Amino acid sequence: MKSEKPLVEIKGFGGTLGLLIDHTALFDQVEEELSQLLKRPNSKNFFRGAEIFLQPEGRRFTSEEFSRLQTLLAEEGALQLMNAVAEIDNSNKKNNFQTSIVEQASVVPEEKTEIDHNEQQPTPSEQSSETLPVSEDMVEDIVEEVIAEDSVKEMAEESLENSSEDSFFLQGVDTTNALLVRQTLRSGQNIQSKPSVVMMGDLNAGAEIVSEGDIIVLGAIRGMVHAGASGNRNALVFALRMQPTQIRIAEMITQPPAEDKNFTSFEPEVAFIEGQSIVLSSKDIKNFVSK
Amino acid sequence: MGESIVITSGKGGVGKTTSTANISVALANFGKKVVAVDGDIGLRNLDIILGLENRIVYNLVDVVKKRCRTKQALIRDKKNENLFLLPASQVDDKSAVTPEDMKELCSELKEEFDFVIIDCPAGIEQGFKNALAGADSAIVITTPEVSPVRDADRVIGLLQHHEIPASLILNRLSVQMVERGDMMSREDVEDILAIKILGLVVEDQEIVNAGNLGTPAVLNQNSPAGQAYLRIAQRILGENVEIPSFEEKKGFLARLLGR
Ligand SMILES: Nc1ncnc2c1ncn2[C@@H]1O[C@H](COP(=O)(O)OP(=O)(O)OP(=O)(O)O)[C@@H](O)[C@H]1O
Ligand SMILES: [Mg+2]
Repeated sequence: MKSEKPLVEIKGFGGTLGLLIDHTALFDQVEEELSQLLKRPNSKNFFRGAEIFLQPEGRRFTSEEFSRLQTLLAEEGALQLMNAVAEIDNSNKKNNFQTSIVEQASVVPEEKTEIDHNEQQPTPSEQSSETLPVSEDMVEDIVEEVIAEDSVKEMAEESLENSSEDSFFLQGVDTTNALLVRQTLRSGQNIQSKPSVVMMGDLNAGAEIVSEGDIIVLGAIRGMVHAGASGNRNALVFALRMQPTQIRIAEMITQPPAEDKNFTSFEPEVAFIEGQSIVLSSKDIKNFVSK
Repeated sequence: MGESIVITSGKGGVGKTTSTANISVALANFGKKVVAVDGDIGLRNLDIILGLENRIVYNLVDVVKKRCRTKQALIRDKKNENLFLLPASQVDDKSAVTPEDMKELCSELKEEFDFVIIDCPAGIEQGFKNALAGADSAIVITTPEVSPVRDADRVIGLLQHHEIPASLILNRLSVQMVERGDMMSREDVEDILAIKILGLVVEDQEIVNAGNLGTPAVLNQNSPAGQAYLRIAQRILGENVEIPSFEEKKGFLARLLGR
């Protein structure tokens, strides 16, 4: 069944280009129609170098799908896809990460099930179970327990003996609880949590953590993390090794510059919002405390 | 009571069937009674690699559908009387078999054999779930490239969910490519996947030749990959055989070349 209206449209929205994608479209269809659209004669010359913004009222995408669209647009249409309404120049920032303000609704699944303090029943987001069928109890395996703030403090202090004095990130740990995850989070697995997440283990590429609070990974981050998902701009992300595919804090997104695919950091780093961008730093850890 | 091991990968074409064949032959050569089960229903290959294609009468689907007795479908290897093949059906598809069927079949085979080695199809759908159902443990195959490693990671997560212990074979390593930095190294892969490495198998033309001939390379003294599978079989048997590292080899070569 093919609807009258095209599933994928490129439109002008007051001087910028917008990509509008039908709610009901399957991802395969989106890819197919988009590449058809871009293959039309003249498309390439017409669009070359332009920025195009994913319209928030359209279909939503998981981060993997989004980056596939990005690649498709870059290759076929010479377009730069933004999940955003505005882009900020942060070329002077450390690591030259590209940060953009995103339309929150277009990246965070609204209908996600959150972990309640009492319930402790995390469920994979609907979007990811669409692409990667993760059974519900799989995430239960992963989530060990919800622990009290005191034990979070204890654990954090233990793991950061070398950071001396004050444990810098504790002030960011909000609410009375945190979710403790004690294992490697592998491709296709994801955690949605209202409280902050403390993870002992690696977050591999293809795995995701979304939390309304902070995300603290005592291991490597290779996948996607979204801290302060409900809009808390004070949320932060900490990892012993930062190799993320993407970091999101509140409504901001940042990803390693494309030309530096192998970007890695072997120092513990903290990511937080400063002004209009996400900053990653190992040096500012102390400054952060005094903020 | 025998032991069942599923050979799986997520990504296609990374060497599951090759590994199943070589490990099965090696275990049989060490005197174990082995059945290699082709779980890749609809795309059978294992019979070709083992050189037993023209002996097939009944297959796995016939067995689970009770169209024949299990014994009737088992094909004895030409060279090794300890080794049997339970071939897949080429005409049915994966939905012809359920996980319960596989569980039942594997426990029946374990009565008779020391090892039941199951060749799993690519992907993580029905065929994968079937192949897993009767397995006590898993061997995950990957090549040192980004997307096979990503898929292996996904599969390891699923295996853990099913509480199936897994170890890893890193296949098609190329010393030259690692040295040039064009390939992930053993350490890179180990770092990401964080599971026990059962063996390293190098890129080896003999594997391809052996596949065409229907005589697995493990019998070939001159095949480095074949020798690696022999060591892998020894490790499965609980022997403590070291994994030769590339660094040593590199050092050795470098010395030879006077670098
Ligand atoms: N170490 C090796 N050196 C050279 N070639 C190899 C090696 N391992 C496997 N191959 C070749 O790679 C190809 C795929 O191997 P194989 O059929 O075992 O993979 P598979 O994982 O079973 O594939 P499928 O997912 O299609 O079932 C074959 O042609 C095989 O000869
Ligand atoms: Mg195969």
